[in-house]
Amino acid sequence: MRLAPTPARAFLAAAVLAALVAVGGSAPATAGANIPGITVYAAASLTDVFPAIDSGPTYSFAGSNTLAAQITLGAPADVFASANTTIPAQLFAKGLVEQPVNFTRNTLVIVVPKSNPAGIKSIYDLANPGVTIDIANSGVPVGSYTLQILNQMNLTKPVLKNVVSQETDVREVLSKVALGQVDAGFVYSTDAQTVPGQVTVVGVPAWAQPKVTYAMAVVKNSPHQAQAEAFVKEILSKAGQAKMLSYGFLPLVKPKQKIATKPPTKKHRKK
Amino acid sequence: MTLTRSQFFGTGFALVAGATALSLEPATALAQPPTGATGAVSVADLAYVRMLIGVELLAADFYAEAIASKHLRGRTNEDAVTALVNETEHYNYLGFVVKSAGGIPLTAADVNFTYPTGAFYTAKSVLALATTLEQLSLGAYLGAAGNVANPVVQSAIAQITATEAQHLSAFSLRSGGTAFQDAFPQAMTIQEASDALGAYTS
Repeated sequence: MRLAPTPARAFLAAAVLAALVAVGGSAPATAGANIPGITVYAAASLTDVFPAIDSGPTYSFAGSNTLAAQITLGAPADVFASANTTIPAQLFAKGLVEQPVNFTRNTLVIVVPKSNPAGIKSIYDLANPGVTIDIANSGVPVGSYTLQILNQMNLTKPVLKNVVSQETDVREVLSKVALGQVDAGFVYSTDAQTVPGQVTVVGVPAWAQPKVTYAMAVVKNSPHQAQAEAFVKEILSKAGQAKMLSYGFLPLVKPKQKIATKPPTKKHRKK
Repeated sequence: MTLTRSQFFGTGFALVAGATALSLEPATALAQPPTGATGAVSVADLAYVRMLIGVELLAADFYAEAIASKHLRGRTNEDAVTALVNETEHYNYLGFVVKSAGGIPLTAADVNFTYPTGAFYTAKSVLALATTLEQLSLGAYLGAAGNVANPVVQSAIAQITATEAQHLSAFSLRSGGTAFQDAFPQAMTIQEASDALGAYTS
């Protein structure tokens, strides 16, 4: 994978570009099929998994809303992958991208520094006096999902009063928590898995989880339509989806759970 | 329309052939809100209702699995089927409240249910977990009954609390325990109920 180059368009904010380069990761050597020559704009939470599926494209990872704004301004993206379905739908309505397709799901968790200085064991502890919390801003999907959780649990006021910082993407929240700059933050479960020794995960109740579905689309102005479509198909392929699952993402449809109704036999136990 | 026990056995039993085959959606044939329009429901009340939806989804999934395990026999199995019908109707009503407030209720497809190893190995283990889960339900509903402000929703919650207490008595008795326990069963705070629910859902 090549790191995102500085876009030629002068009107793009330099600060945003710096952030994009800063979050761009290097591709694992085990990446699969190769579709070079295209630029993929993808949600920051996809930083690790997309290059692992294909190291060929040039990637720009950032908050989905930031990337969408750039595409709206004419940035040279070929594929857009968002951490929600709303933003791609808006771009589609504006005629900027082809029909979006859903490709994975995720859940939100709370991360606390490994030392857990605030002693947070439950989402309700985030309302305790003196707790410092970092969240993504409401324009970013993860920030919007965070507010949705707090609202559904009637925790908006008591928790937001402890928010000391708001970020432009989920990886910035994760970084601040991992560095111990705050007591807690909301991230995707897949992000938490990328720094296992640095943070502890506190679950968000299933009954308050938002429906986190990712969608992607080929950018209409892309001069590489065939390659862009091939990339989308690659992500949707069996191999692509298997790689997504291996990074902790969820399948679009919940698989049927198998419940054991009798103890395993000795034969099964040996296996 | 509310299905009677015989109607359910005759026409609705296919629903419980598999846990995931059970489609728990508001306003299905099983749905019958106990009252009419709820009026304005506060965010605080809705938080309770959403949590209770999680409780009902867990209970419905559990009873579907319990029945599918085929360990329960005779009246015990019939009680489990009736409990499943009750939990489904509770879910439908609570979903109606959320929908009336402009929200989208949680569905079984949104939740992963987790049970202790061996929970469905024998009738005894199934009944033990049934009792545990009904205690959770009763505590959660008692907490909600004392804190939900909307009178219509509160009335419905009181009705449901009575049903959950009946379930607890039935399965406690069939587990070898007693039908009657505390004079004043313990209510759970929303945090206690949520944390308890978290042991079985993700």
